[in-house]
Formats: sequence, C-alpha cells, structure tokens
Amino acid sequence: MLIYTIKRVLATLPVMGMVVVFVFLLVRLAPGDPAAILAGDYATPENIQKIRTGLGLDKPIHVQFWIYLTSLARGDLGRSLHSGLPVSQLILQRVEPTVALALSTLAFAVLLAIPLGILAAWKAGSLLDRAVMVFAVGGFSIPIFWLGFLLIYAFSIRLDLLPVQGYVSFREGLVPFARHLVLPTVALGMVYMALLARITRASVLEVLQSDYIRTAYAKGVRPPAVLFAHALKNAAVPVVTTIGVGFALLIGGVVITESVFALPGLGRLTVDAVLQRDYSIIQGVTLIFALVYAVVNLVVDLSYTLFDPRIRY
Amino acid sequence: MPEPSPEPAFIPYDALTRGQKARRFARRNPTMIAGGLLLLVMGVLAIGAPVLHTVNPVDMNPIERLKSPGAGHWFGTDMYGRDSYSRVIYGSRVSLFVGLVVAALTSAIGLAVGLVSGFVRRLDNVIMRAMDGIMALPDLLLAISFVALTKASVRNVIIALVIPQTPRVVRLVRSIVLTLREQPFIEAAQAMGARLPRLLLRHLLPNTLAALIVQGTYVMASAVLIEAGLSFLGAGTPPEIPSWGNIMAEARSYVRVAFWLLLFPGLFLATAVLAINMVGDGLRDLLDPRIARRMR
Repeated sequence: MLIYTIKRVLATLPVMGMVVVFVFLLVRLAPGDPAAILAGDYATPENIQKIRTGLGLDKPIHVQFWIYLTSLARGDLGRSLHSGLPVSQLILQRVEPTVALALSTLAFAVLLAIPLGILAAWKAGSLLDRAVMVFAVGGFSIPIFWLGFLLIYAFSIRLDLLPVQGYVSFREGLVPFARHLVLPTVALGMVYMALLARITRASVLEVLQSDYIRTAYAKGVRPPAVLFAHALKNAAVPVVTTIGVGFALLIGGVVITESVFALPGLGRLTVDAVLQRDYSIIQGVTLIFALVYAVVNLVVDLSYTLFDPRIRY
Repeated sequence: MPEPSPEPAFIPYDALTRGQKARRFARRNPTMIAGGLLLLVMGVLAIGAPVLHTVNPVDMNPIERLKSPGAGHWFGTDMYGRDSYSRVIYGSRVSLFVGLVVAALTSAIGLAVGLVSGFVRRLDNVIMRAMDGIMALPDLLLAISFVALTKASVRNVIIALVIPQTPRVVRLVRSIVLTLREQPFIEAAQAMGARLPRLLLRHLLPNTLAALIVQGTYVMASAVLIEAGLSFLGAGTPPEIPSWGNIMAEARSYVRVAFWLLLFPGLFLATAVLAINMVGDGLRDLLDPRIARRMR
C-alpha cells in the first residue's frame, strides 16, 4: 500500500508538469504583447521596453520557462500585473470563502445524493425512483447562475428569509456565516447532487442484480440487511470515483456561484483577473485549482482499498 | 368479473405499417421523442427568429424601458427598452450555433486523435499524457483563461470550449479502439493487407460512431451551458450580441425590479440543455443497450 501510494503520487507529477507547461504557454502564446497591454494606451516605446525587461519577457522562451519553474519551486507565483502584490498573498486572502463554499457543497450534495440514489435503486421502478431520475436529469441541465438568481428571488427578495448576497466569516459568528452560505450551497450543489444521485442509483442497482445478492436472499437474509450489509459496500467504488471526477464541476461552478452571490473568494479573484487581463493571477489560480483537483482524485484513488479489500496495490 | 382482454395477435415487425413502426418507436423511446421535439421547436424558433413577430433585438426604446411582460412585450422589456422576447429568441441562435459547432468540432478532432492514439502505440503515450494535462484543468477554468487571453468573439469562445471537451472524446474513442484492435476482423483485415489508413477509416471508425454520437450530444449540452456561463461572467460572446448568457449578465442588477429579464432567458437555456440531454439519454439507450441497462 505504501509503495502504491508513493507510485500513485509520482504518477501525478507528469500530469502536474503538463499543467505547468500548459499554464506557462497559455500566457506566452496569447496574442498581443503583455508588456504593451500593461503599459496602457499612452505608453512610450521606452516604457514598454522597461516593463518588458522587468518581467523578463525579452529573454528566450526556455530561459523564461526556467525562471518560471525555479520561482514556482520557491512558492513564488509572481506578482499581480495590476496591483503589484504577490499572487500567493492575493490567493491566501481569498481562500476562506471558497473552501467554506466547497466543503458545504460537498457535504450537501453527498449527504443528500447518496441516500436518494440508494433509495431509488432499492425501490427501482417506483414513483420515487422516477422522481429521483427526473431530478437527476433536470438538476444536470439547470444553469448554476440561473438557479442562483431563482433562489435569491424566492428566498431573499420575496420571502426575505436569507441574505441576498455577500459573505460573513465564521469568526464573526456561525449563524450569519451559515445563513450566507445556504443559497450558494444549494445553487452550486444541484449539479453535483444530480450527478452523484444518478451514479449511486446505477451502481446500487447493478450490485443488487448480482448473484451473491440472490444467494443472500435465498438463505434468508432480511431485505434491509441485504442492502446495508451486503450491497452498499460493493456499490461504493463508482460513487467515490464520481465524487472525485465531479469535483471539476464544483471548481468551475465555484467561479460562477461566487460571482452570483458576491462571495469574495478565489472564483471572484479569477473573474476579476480575467476582466482585467491580469495574467499572473490567472496562471496562479489555474495552477492552484489544478493542484486541488489532482489531490482530490489522488485521495479518491487511495480510498478504494477502504471500500473494496479486493483492490490491493 | 370483466372478460380479460384478448391477447393482441402477434404481428411481425416487417408487416407493420410505417405509422405503426413510428408509434412503437415513440412508445419505447419517450424521452428521446420529447427531447427531440423540444429541440426541434427551439431550432425552428432560432432559424425563424426574424419572422416570428420579433422586433430588432438591439433596438432601444427608452420610453418603454423595464415594462413587465404583457400584450405588447411578451417577455417584457429591459433597461434600454429592448424587447426581451425578441432578444431571447435571437439568443437561441448564438447558443445553439455554438453548441452545435463545438459538438461537431470536438467529435471530429477527438475521433481523429483517438483513432490514432488507440492504434498507433508509439504515439499513444504522448497523446494521452497531453490529454491528461488538459483534463487536469476544470473545463470552465480552462475556457475562461483562454478567452481572457484572446479577444472576445464567437470564434474564440468556440475554440475555448473545444479544447477542454476534446480529451473526453479522445479517451472514449481510444478505449473503443483498444478493445476492437484485438478482434479477429481487424486481424483478418491486416492479413489481407489493409494499410493503416484503410484499417482506421473502414474498420475502426464505423464501430466508434454510436458512442461518438451519444458523447457528442453531451458535449453539446455542456458547451451550451458553459458558453452561457462564460458570457454571464463577461468572458464569452461579445456583449453586443444577444446571447442568453449576455442577456442574463445585463439583467443581473435588475433582479429586484425586473425579474422577468432573468427568468425567460434562463428558462430557454435550461430547456435547451434538458432537451439535448434527453436526446442524448435516448440515443444512448437506443444505440448501446449494454450501457443503457447500467445507467437507466
């Protein structure tokens, strides 16, 4: 297991390497001269030249890449082209709302989708099953930002139950913190939940049709025990895989959700950077998100042995 | 006790009339038919936009601004007095066009790369690592950074959507090719002297089409969604073009006073995506009974 873990961690390195190359090239291949964009419309050629040397853009591309790599290794993500602040500092300032939103969404989606999926599979063909499936297809088709505005309109403007927008840190009290997170969590969690409910249902349904389940029934095991003691564990692997793969939906959704609900997180940082064409922030945030995504899927891979002892590494 | 209804006489499929065949097909694939009809309606609206009682979607009329939905303006008017119904109908043109083109391009590129990767072992490793690299980035993030680096235009949005979607198609095609290449018919074709291009095009390609079409519908659904998302964030279709995402982006600060401005474009967007997903699910059930049993 230890050897597998090390191997699996090492296997993520080439992928992360690809990501670094990709992120590096993304900015260099962009049309237009970053130095000229940065200098603004009224810059003199000398000004542009000064900015160019300052950013190291006049060096050959492989030298630039080497500089980029070595500074990455030191944890230096560069400086914002606009404010001049270190990107790592900007990211750290914005981490809290995003982590809070991601965790609450994960909990919301997993805790609702898995029981729903299991129930639908257990009562396959029933009205409840159909309702879950309609919800799964529907939830997957609703745009996050539209759902967000529907929720704001219904619960904040019409019913006046929850705050419209904004974020309150948990340090300033858990109740306002939670109240501000409810609507964003539901809006962001719907897609994820739909995906998970569907996979859970399919996976449980498949296990329930297998021979060993029939054997369990035949020797007189009670139906609930068949489900809980025999079936669920074997249905877990595809569900856990989907939690990992679906995390990409969550990351993309965070960017949109934070924009709708005015949460000052990494997603907002990204959108603002995109609108200002602040390339170094875009690079930094993209790298961080890719790293998180890779780590989540690494943990998912390693967790398989917990659910299925037949999987040995 | 009522008489049990008599068993319907068995009629061989070939003896059915065309109408009976169609009805049977519809009865067995209700999702696909419903989704297909919805899509058809949307397509007709998009193509027929200029004649469907619409006014110029960019005509401003300050006196008529922020009118709620009513007889003159079915979906109300926006902050510049532009007719929301016309804008939403015209918006379907951009969204469906982008979705279709992205699905077509992604399928074509993914098919070509996937076939080569699956059959030419020497290139496989390189191609798949590159695909892993792209897939390590969440698709919206990749699209948004691409648009940020280029000028906002429909063409660039299409490219920004094709890049993150392609690896999924490549992996799908490659996995099919990997199972097919061990089959006797490929060996037979090779033994008869078929060269690589012929093997790929005549023997492998046709066997990947069913899965490719299904995947294509899902690509289209996410392309429509992500295009709207990008436009909504201000990093998509240029703001002067009325796409669903752009209409909602402009309307967002009017959520209190003119909720209809957000309601209708979102409703159209959700319906379009739902319809595409329904067609995709239907096609999947139809073309691949093995997966259908697992996913249903």
